[in-house]
Amino acid sequence: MVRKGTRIDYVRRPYVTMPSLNTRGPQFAAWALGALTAVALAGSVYRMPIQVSDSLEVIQRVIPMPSATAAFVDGLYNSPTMLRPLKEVRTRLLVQAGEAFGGRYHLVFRGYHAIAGAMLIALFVWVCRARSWTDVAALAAALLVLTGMHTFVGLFREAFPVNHYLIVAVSTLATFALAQSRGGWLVDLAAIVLLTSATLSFESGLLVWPVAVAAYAAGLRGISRRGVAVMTLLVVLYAVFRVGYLGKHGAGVGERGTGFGAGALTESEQIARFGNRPSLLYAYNVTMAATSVLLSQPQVGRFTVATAWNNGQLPPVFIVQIGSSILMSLVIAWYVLTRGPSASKRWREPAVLTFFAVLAVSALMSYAYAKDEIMSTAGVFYAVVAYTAVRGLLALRPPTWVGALLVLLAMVASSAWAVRSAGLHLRLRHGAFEARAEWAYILSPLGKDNWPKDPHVLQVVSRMRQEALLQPTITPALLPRWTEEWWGED
Amino acid sequence: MRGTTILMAIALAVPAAGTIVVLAASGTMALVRGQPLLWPAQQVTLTEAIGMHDTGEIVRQIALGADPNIRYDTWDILKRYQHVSVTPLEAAVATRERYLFEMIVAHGALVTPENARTLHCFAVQEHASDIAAYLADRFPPPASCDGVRLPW
Repeated sequence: MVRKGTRIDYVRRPYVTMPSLNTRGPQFAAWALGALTAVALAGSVYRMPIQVSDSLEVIQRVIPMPSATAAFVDGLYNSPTMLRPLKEVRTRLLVQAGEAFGGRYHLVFRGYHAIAGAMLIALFVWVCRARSWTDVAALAAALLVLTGMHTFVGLFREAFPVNHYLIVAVSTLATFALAQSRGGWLVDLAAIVLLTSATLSFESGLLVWPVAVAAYAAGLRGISRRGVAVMTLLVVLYAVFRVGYLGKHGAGVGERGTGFGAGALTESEQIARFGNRPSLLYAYNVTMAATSVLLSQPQVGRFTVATAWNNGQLPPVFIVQIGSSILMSLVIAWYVLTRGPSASKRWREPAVLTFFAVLAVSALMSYAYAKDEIMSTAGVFYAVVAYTAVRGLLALRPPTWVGALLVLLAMVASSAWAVRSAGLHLRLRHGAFEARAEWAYILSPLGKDNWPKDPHVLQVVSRMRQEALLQPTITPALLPRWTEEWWGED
Repeated sequence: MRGTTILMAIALAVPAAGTIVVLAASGTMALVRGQPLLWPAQQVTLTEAIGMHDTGEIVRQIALGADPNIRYDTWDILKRYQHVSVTPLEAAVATRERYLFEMIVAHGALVTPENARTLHCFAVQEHASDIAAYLADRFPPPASCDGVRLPW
């Protein structure tokens, strides 16, 4: 229930556009759009085979472990840089669930991924809180922004065997939803559990903390001051445990290749150029990571548009991606830099402040190398703030000629994001093709020496292989050339 | 509600909702029937899969019972805009990829003294030197390819 006239009411609904006397219709429409988007996503995600690279090795490692606790402990110590014990636990639980379903590992692993995607969409619809028909229009466009962002693909195209970037995105969005709630000790507890589980699944899970802090700073009180304080303490303890006790270190210059300018730098090239002054490379990576969310370039640190331009042709994919991002970022910039109807500073609104916090922290996490997936949570909050800004735009009362221009731009932007959103599914088809191709080399009759020695592991891998290889997928070589021109090379 | 707001909302919602509905229909078909409406799996023959280096499809078709020792029609892959009828091993020779050749042998294709001569001559013609060497390790190379009937 909304406490009208209080500060909480104001920050929850910072910009009320077209209040409907009856909000049930718009709410139903909003959830229907969310459900349709989730079904579309689930269909593409579920039809992808379980991945081999960075995934099968984890599955094989956890199967012989005696318990989930053993998997957790293994996750504490199995890498000098990574601390992801819940990844191991989750993998083990999924394997056991697959066995409980009679060896239907595809159902469990891919179903888990698809359901997690549906949860992300549901949380997105929840935090947007569409209450009027104009809100629903804004939400429809925002759902396309969410699924059309180039960073969104990374949440679904790969799984190791679970996509931990998706776990982080779901956890951060759930934390924001908790911050929007009426609060209470259960909400605080839920936020703490989300932070703990996300952080122990993947380092980027720390993003839950800036979301809680930014939401609190913007006036949301769903997570109390005490809750935020406990979360802050947990982050400090995590840092002490990770660095002080386990002795894990972060990535440095030359640990993996990264995009730079219009090209890419290998590990040795990075050391040669930036070994003595790594801060230059770090500054480039951080600023370009943030820019990529706002402008769709560079991607993975590379200005691929410059390469295309130098090659003498600019395929439509660049015009659609960059053009739609510029349009949407301009709307967001207009919204952030103006004031609301009650002269309130919009940049202090919860969605806006949280987006900038997530963008900044995600960019900082990209300091050592560029990777679009690291920015995936920022991409999700970009869509949230896009929804807020578009709602603000719909509430304008412009002169007729400006209104006509805005209608035209709205049509162009929505259509461009629609093209991008469809491209997500094409990329997932490519992912399915690649994932299945990898299985052709597993348990190959040519390399029986490499087969798992443990009979239980062999049985599980054999069944997974059978399920994966029987999945029909597209053959990218047979796709028409225009798909590459509109959605890019894979 | 002013006309501009309504028009702008429609301009935003129509492309978005239309796309979401089409993609949802595609996703529903993928979940229910196993194939999406948008970009479904294409039907290809075993030799077409080999021609496109689609290792997953090669193993899938053989696992589902495709015979790796008979000829299959191949359209516009090994020869531009042409139908050719080749065996999986001949298709692998045409790709010049030894790993594909070995994969098909490992999955049941037979290399016998009878077809080794044809394959060797075809490998020489197609400049598939790795596969020619593979065959030469197992069967003596033919002294001459005269009279050997090649796929093209």
